[in-house]
Amino acid sequence: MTCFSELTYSIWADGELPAEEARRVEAHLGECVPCRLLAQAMAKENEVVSAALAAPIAGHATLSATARGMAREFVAVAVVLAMAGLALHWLAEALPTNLDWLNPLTTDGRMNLFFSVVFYLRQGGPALLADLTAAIPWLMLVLVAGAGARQLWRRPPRLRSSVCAVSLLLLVALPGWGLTKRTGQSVTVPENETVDDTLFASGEVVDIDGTVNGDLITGAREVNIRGTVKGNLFAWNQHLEISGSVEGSVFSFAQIVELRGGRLGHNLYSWSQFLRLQPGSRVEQDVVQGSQHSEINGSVGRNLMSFSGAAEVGGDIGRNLDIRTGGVSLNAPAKIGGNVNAYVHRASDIRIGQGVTIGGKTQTHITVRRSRFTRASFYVWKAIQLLGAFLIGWLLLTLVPRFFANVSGAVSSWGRSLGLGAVILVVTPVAIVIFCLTLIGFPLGVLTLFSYLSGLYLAKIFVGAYLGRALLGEPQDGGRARLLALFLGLLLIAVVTQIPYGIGAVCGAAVVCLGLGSLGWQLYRNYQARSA
Amino acid sequence: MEAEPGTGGREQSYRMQTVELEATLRRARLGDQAALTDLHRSFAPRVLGLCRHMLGTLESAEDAANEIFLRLSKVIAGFDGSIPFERWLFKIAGNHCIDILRKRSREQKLIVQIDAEALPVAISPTSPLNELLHSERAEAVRAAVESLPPKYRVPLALRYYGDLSYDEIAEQLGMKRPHVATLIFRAKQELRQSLAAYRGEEPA
Repeated sequence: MTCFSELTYSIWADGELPAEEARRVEAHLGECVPCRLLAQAMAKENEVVSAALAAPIAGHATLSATARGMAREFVAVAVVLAMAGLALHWLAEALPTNLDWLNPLTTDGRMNLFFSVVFYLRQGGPALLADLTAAIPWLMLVLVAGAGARQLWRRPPRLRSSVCAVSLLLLVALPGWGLTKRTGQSVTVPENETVDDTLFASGEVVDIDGTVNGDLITGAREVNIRGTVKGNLFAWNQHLEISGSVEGSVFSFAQIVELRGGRLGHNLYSWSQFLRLQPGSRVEQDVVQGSQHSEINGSVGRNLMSFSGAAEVGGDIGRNLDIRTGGVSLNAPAKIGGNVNAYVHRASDIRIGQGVTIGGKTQTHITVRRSRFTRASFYVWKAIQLLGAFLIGWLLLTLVPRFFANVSGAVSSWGRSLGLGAVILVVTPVAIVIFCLTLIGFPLGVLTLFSYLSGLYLAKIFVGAYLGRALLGEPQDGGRARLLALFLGLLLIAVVTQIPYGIGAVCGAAVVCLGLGSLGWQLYRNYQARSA
Repeated sequence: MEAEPGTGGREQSYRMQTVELEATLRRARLGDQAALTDLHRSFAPRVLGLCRHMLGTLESAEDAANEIFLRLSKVIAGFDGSIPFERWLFKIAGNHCIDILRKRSREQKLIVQIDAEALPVAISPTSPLNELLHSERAEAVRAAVESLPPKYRVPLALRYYGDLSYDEIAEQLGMKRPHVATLIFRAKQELRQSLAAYRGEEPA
């Protein structure tokens, strides 16, 4: 008997052949293996098509379509932001260099902004509003550029692609940074030399005896500033010593930071082991510092905010002194223009010597260290956090059930997840810093930061879902059992991470790594499936 | 063993649904607004799905679904219970969507009247879809259906989403039954080809 046509099998698979013909076809299928396989495959195909079409409309398909649309808009906004950033960068070239710290689109401007915002939130000084206003043009720019991108994106595709092409060209034609780079065993700017650009100096010893008109960025073991830096100073060193002047702000991360008669035009932000402001040195505006030991014998124009293991203040502080410390002594001839706010553990931790003048009030806040387990608020907060995580998990379960299941399933390959998660945990912040340091990459950096933070938050939810399922077994009736498992898992994590003596912290880190790794792995798998 | 009680349970719940549904339908036929709302609530997602597959975009599908349910109060008197309500509703919805497609100016010749014999029925260049059970793949199938020309998309949606028979589809589209069979067959061939492209495979 000859085989039937493929069309006939298609009709047969649809169950639409007249009974008699169907019998003949089935008889043939019983004998002919290739035809049987074909007909079976066609029947299976019908099921696949039916199943694919039957999936709820408002669910997966439209959601991912929305996500695609949003991703497109994100890219558009990033591109427009980058272009606007470039334009502003060119504009900023026209500004005097020593006003650079006010320009929020330069790295130092952003750093200044960041520290100022932190300080402002803590301090609330209206004088700091001036720094904050620098954020407003930036915000406006984001809004305008975002709206512009949206409008552009709604136009026909030809315009869209030409926008992409133009922005790509602009990206390629990046303007010069005006950056001078010097590296070597020892880098010296001699007394009679002037560097007009921003100077990037790295080496064992960096000596600045001359003048740097731009910023100074250093990564040396020892840095000595005897000359003048007109911009800001960014320093990662073992030892930073300033006896000359820095007209902008200083951002330092060093073991020892010392001002020997040096002068800072704006602020000092320092994170160090030892900070010394020798008599005769002066910071015109604020000092924000964290250190093991600090000696402030120079003068500070505005506020001094200090987190210090031990602190000595003997200089002149124009406004307030805020200090959180293990012990502080104010020695003559210290003079505080405003208030003194001290946060200490015992009243005896603050000593105010003879001859110290304080213009405002002195307030000592005694913070008693008690076990957090004895406070009711601790449990309330933990419960709220647990509930929040649970609700987010619920939302994810509803919105992206399959993705959620895949990620929490990936936790079971714990070796892979743990390793990958640890790498993501460490590498992402580095990448963010690198992105943010380049003007173009700033939107990308912010985007990455948000994704990273979301990932950190979501990690425990995925691990929680996995643990819950491991405890309760595979849920039979879907919805409610899965939620119960998620809740139990999250509760377990919340309890385990509170174990004292560092065990809880280690468990917490493991949970974050596991979750991040699984998330990363699944995202990679999805990406692979999509591009395959 | 496990399948038996499950099937029984489903049948029972279906019957209960049917009893409830019949009562609602009776009230709806008498013009009870609440009953019509109930019908809208239970059938709107399915009807929206059919419109979506037939019309291609969610916006037009939502408009169409709304119009269909607005019309329902007028046409429900014509429902005689000889076929399941959902099937009847799908026929109404299908007709409505076909009307919309015909009205779209350039798609007047949406369903071209060709003799079934004139359509070449070649042996498929691709094998039937068989490993497409993953959700991502299901999405790909939906996207592929969406990109089919209306003359293939409409019968495909009516057959595999609406579960209508060849005869019912033929009646809706005003064509002969063999033509429907051919269109559906060709539609699936097209589908395979575009999915093969999606998977980056050479159609072999």
